Amino acid sequence: MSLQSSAALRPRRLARWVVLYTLVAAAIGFAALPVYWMLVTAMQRGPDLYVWPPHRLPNPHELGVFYRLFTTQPIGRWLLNSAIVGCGTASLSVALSVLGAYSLSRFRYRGRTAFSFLLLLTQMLPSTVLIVPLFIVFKETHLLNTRLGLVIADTAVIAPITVWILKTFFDTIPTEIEEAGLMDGCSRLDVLRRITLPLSAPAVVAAFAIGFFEAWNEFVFALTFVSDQSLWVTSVGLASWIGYLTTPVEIMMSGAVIFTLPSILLFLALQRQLISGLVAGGIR
Amino acid sequence: MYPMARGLLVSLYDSRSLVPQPGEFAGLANYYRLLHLPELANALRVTVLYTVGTVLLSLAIGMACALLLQSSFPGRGLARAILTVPWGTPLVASALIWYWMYDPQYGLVDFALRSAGVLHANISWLLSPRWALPAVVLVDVWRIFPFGAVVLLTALSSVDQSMYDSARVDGAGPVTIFARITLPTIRPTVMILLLLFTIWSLKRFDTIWIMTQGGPADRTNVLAVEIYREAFRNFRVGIASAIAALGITLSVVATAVYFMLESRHEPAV
Repeated sequence: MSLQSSAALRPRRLARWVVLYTLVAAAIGFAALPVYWMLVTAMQRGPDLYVWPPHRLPNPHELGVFYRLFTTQPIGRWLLNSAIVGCGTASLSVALSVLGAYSLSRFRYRGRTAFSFLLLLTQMLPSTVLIVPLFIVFKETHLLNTRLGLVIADTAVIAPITVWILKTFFDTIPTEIEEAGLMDGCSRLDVLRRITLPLSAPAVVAAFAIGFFEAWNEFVFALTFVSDQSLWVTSVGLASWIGYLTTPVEIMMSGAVIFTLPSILLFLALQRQLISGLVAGGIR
Repeated sequence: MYPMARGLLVSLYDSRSLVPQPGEFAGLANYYRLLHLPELANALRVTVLYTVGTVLLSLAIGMACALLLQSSFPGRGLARAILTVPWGTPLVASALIWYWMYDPQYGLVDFALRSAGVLHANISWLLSPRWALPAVVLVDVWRIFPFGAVVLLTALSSVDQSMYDSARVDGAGPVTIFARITLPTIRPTVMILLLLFTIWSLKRFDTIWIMTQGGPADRTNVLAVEIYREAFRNFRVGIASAIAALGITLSVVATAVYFMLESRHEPAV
């Protein structure tokens, strides 16, 4: 390291560092700019948005936009619906995938490969492929226009991924620990509940978070299966603002800020688990 | 699984209501009609362009970022954190932000390009048949290249440093080192990213639907959007399901190819 920094004083090395920094800055700038622009746009007086050249700094006196957002738009309702569907999806998919993943990880049976093939296949399907058949099924079972319907649809999409997250984690737990439990007279389910699950807490948390944010993000199902405005989730509500020019742009962007913030915070906090989860979901 | 089977069944009906009636059974007619549906050929073409463009660009930029961020310098942690932001942004929020940035009158994209002297007049990016597809591709690239960068960064840190040193002693240049040492080591990660990016781009619906609804003149009409339009705009549910069945078939083939490649590599690992 010290060798490198003394070498950095030489002009050619210096020029290289400048180029390197510029390129990194460009890429980071590209990544950060749209989110920065969302903040800038949210915090402008309405008329200030329609000027050329655009204002490039947020106006600190315009924090009141968030107050206007919650008083003029039903976004509180939408956020609540998103949170309910998110928690429901996360709980249901974790519950199902704990069992599925445990069986995939511990038992050898016919059709195991076929099962993993199907899991990967379901991930490759666009959601729009599923909406017509799901629409029909939900109509027959009276799940249209319910949050439960959304929970079920979202779980169908995310469960394959949470299964893989948990399975890869279960694979790392030595079977000897469980065998000791079995010797002591525990049933398989007891072993799962008392030994395996507590050991897998990090993976379970990651699976829960991924399930929550699948539902938080989800748009197609929510757009198609729920027409009752009081049951709309945030993604559908925000998207409805585009096209009707009645919603001011700064309100639109402040809504996007509120919608994005929890998601980004959680991604930052759980970055490592989410990455390994998504990568594990993509393989095998 | 049940919805999938049900979807296949619907594709055999000539139905205009969402729940087909028994009298509307049409056999394979919908599939025959697909052959003559110009929208389908276009949708397949757009889907391929969209996917290839998104995947290659994201992978290239992500790789470049990872290589640059590999060396330690002040602010590296912050750079990594910023790289998490785009894929933490919900799709609908991304669509809103970019929709506004592409605004033909007050948009940031036009402003930036005009300030840089690249453009002399504003362009309506999302309404231009020429620029709409690149514009929606860019949104997706913005979302997923940082994911690639962070994942590749982790993979790069596992490359044996002593290999670099001995290669440098042997007089290898940076390009040779990358091709002979770095790339072979991180190959599995690159393959996984390739698969993940392909899956994501093939499925992408939200951003495209919100920003262009498949327009202008179907230039951004990917398969996922085409299915939705047939079913919920044109109410040709039978046709939509037939296209969906085609989509499922394509996915089965892609998954099978991936499985075969995987199992061929397995003994070597």
